[in-house]
Amino acid sequence: MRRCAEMGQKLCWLGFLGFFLVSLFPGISPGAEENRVVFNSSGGALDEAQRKVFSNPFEKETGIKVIHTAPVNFAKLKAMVETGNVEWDITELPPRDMVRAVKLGYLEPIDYTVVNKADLLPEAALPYALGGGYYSTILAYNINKFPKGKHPQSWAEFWDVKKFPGRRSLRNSPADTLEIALLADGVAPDKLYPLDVDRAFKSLDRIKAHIAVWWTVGAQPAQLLTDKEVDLATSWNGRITDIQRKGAPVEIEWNQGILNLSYYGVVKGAKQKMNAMKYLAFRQRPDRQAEWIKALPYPGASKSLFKYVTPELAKVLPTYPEHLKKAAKVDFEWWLENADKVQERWNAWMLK
Amino acid sequence: MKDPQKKGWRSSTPAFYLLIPSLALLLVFFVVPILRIFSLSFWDPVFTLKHYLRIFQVEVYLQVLLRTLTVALLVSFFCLILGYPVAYLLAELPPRITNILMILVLIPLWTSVLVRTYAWMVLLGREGLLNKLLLYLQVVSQPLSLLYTSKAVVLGMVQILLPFMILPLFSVMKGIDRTLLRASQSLGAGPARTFLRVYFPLSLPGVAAGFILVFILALGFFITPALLGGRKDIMISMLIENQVRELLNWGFAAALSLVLLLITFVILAVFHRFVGLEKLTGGMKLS
Repeated sequence: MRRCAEMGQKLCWLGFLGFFLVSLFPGISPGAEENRVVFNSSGGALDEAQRKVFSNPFEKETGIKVIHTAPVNFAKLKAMVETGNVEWDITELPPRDMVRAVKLGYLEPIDYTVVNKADLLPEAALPYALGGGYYSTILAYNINKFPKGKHPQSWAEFWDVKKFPGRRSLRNSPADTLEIALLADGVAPDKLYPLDVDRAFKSLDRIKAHIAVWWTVGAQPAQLLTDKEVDLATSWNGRITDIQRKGAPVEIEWNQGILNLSYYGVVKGAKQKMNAMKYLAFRQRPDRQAEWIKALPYPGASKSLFKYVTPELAKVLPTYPEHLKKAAKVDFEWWLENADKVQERWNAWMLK
Repeated sequence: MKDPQKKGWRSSTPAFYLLIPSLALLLVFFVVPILRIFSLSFWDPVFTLKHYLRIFQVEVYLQVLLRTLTVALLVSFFCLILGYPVAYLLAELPPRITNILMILVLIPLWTSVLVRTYAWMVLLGREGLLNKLLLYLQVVSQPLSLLYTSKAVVLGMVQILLPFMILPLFSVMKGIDRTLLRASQSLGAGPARTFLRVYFPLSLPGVAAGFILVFILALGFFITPALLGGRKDIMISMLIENQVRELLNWGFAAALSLVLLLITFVILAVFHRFVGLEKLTGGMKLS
């Protein structure tokens, strides 16, 4: 009886060991290109619009099924490429992650025989990534507190607490905020990089005591302005357009907006590479983009987009020529090099 | 024939089989990842101590650790103050009423932490319910700054973690032999003295268990301080998240996590030395 029990135990340990070993080696499954494409993006409330504007018409036109996944997560991308277990074909990439992914070799080259490069703005048509959506960190203000025209019209005026008394909010992150601090201190938008970090923190020292809320998630500034928790805030432009459409008394000052561009990349080792290129090309079409910005004012990089857009709608886009002229463009390379050190200094500064 | 007493766990081999699924799960999803985190923190890509040196050389990480410990301590303390009377009441009332009240204690546990955190934002904002009420009653003339402060963080965390204090307290109090109380009173002690000299000492294991449970959960809190706190309310888990997701310094994030884990172990060891870990499992002696 005892022997038997012991045998069972050995067997069970073997099984145990097997399970353990299997868990260490993720499956390697080579496969032919299937009639589908896996598209990874931020998802959420916009997923339905993504389907309606891009994926459903694409499916109808090509017969290629689009599978949506979420959320965007660089750590997951890294794990997929490094283990060879690539689930996504396309993933959205915030700007810094794009630079990083290209450097680490996590992306396939974009096939410009499929994607129409001629219609794209230059910073969007990169060898390994396609510009997906422009967004801007802008100054948003409550029009009941500051009537239009009597509001702060630059970051220097945002910093001017005597002329514009009111509760303020900045993002609890050095990204874009350091640029804003330098612009407030008089640096010209085209002379920002390399960032003078010391000068930026000195400039921030002046405003620190007047910041009522340091926001951490993208939905916060819109919420803070709607709830009258603050009168002035930095925000991503789309969030403000969204609450304006819902009737919030909030306006955008486009002067010195910090222009960012998020990208799409085809994951290294993607199983449906060709479908991915076709889908990305489809998404860049100006007629599709013109539909898309009705849902979210983060336009793609199509140059002919404005031919398809009504004047009112054009004005809420960060790429509207008037706004573009006044914007400062972020240098993602600089950020990739310096983010770590700057973040550490930011944390220490926050605690002081 | 061997003495069956000396065969130890082998005598209960069939029972051991029942443990296999959960042990396998722990091995694959807990032990292996922790070993991986351990190696990440020391090999980058060759053996290095730079991540640990950074934690102890750059002031901000120790500051945040200290802050995390302080907040966790405060939260545990207030949970105890609020939870003890509730647990006492639950243990004393007839079961029919206890069951109803117990559901009230448990319902918050079934609601997402995020939802409860947002509820606090609605309550505490400048235009929030509390400020509106205070203004209406003319207690204040200007809305109070309640949200985005350390107080809001502690308040939010206390509300979220309170059930973890009440439940262990309740289970220990329920087990207190009521005849001891009667004995105390029959020997001439008044209610206050009976409580202080008999009931309270007997409930201490519950106090310790609840305190340690809340404390350890609070150490890892993330979303509540991020949403309710001001600029100084940085918890260690927020730094870890930032390192993992934004900066992709997995090695450094791993080192920070291990330091947090080590602190947790040290606290558990101190607890075990003075109270005994078996109190956490409901007072059964582990042999």
